[in-house]
Amino acid sequence: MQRTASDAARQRRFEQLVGEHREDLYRYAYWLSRDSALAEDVVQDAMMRAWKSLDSLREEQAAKPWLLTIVRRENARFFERKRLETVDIDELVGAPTLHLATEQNTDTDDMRAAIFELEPEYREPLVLQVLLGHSTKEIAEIMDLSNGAVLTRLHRARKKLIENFDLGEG
Amino acid sequence: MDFKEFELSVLSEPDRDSDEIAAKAQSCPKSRALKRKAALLEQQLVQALGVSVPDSLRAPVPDMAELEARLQDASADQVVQSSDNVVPLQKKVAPANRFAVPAWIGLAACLALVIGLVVRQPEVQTDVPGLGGEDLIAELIEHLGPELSSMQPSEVSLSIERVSSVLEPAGARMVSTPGPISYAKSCVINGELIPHLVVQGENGPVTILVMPNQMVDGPMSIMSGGFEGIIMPAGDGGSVAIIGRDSASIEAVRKASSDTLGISI
Repeated sequence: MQRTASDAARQRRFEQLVGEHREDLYRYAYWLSRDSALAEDVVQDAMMRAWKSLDSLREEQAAKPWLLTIVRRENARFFERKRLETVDIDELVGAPTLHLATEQNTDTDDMRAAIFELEPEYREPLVLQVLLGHSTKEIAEIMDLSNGAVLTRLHRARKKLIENFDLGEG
Repeated sequence: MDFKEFELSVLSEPDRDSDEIAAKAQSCPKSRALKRKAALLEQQLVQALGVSVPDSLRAPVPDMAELEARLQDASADQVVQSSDNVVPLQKKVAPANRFAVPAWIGLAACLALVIGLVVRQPEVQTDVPGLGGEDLIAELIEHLGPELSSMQPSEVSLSIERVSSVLEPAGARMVSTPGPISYAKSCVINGELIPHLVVQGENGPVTILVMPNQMVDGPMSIMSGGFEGIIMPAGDGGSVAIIGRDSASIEAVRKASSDTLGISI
C-alpha cells in the first residue's frame, strides 16, 4: 500500500489525539459493557470509527468527549446487535469478568458487585465522574442530558450504593 | 439548606465543598454522618472502579490506514481457503443458535487448522526439549495470571473479523474452531505481540497462544501454576500453546481438533 505524506500526517494526528485516551476509553467501555473482552472489541471498533471520521473533529481539545461518545455509541450498537440476536443480555453479562488494577479484597469485591447491580443510567455518570474525572457539564454533554438530570442520577447512584453497601459507619 | 438539599449536593458532587455545606455538616449530626459515609464511599468507588488495561491498548497505535484496508479485505473474504480445506466463514451467526453448537461448528477449523496444520509430531513429550522450554512455560503461565478473567466460562462469541484481525499479524488464519471464541487479543509475551485466544470448549474454556517466532523442538506438556496444557511446534519456526484448567478441557479441544481435521495432537 502506497503511503502518502497526507496519510502519514493523518496517522500522526490520530496518534496524538487518540493514543493518550485509549486506556480511559477501555475503562469506560468496560464499565458500560461489564465484560473485558467486549470492552476491548468496543474500543477497537470505536478506534476504527474515529479514524474514519477523524476529519470531522475540529477542535483538538474536544477529542476525549468526542471519543467517549463514539465508544458509547459503539457499545450501544453492540448491545443492539445482541438484542437482535435474541440473546439475553443479563445472561451475557451475568458473570462479570474483571481486569482489576487493585488488589482483591472483600470490600472491593462487594462494592464492585454493587456497582454492577446499578442500572446503566446510574452507573455510567458515576464512572464518568469518579473514574474519568468529568464535570457534571461534561457528563451532561456526553450523555446528552441536562445538568439537573446528571446530578439526579449521580445522587441516586450513590444513594443506592450507600443503601446496599455496608460502609462500616453507624 | 435543608437535609434533602444537603444530601443531593453531597451525593451528586462529593468533591464540591461550600461554606453552606460545611456549616450544615457542622450543625447537623445526620448531615455530618452522611458526609462521612459519602467520603468512605468515594474511596471504595475509586478502588472498585480500577481496571487494568489490556496489552493491546498499551501498545503503539497501529497503522490505521493499513488496518482499515486489512479489515476491508477480511470482510470481503467470505471464504478462507487452506491447502486441504475450504471452509465457508459465516459472517453472521443465526440468531436462534447464537451460542449453540451448530452456530460455532460452522466456523469449524480455525483453531483446529491453526493447531492442526502446524503439528509436526503427534507424540507429547513430558520432558521439556530444547533451550528455554521451562522459561517459555513460566513466561506463558505468568502472562495468564493477570488475564485469568478471560478464562471464565462465557457465552460471548467474537466475530470472525475480530479473531482474524488478531491472528493475521502472526501469520495465522481462522478456518475452524472447536468452540466459540470468547476472547481474542494481541498480547506482549517475551517482547513479541502474539495472538491470545480463549475458546469455549465443551469442557470449559481453553487458552490458545499462537507464537509465530517461538521455536520449540517438539511438543511439550505444561503442568504449572494450576494449569495444564501443551506447546506444539507450529508453522515455520513458531509454536502454539493450548492451556486449560484441567485435562478434560484440553482433551476436548484436542478431540475437536482431531475430529475436524483427522489429526491428533
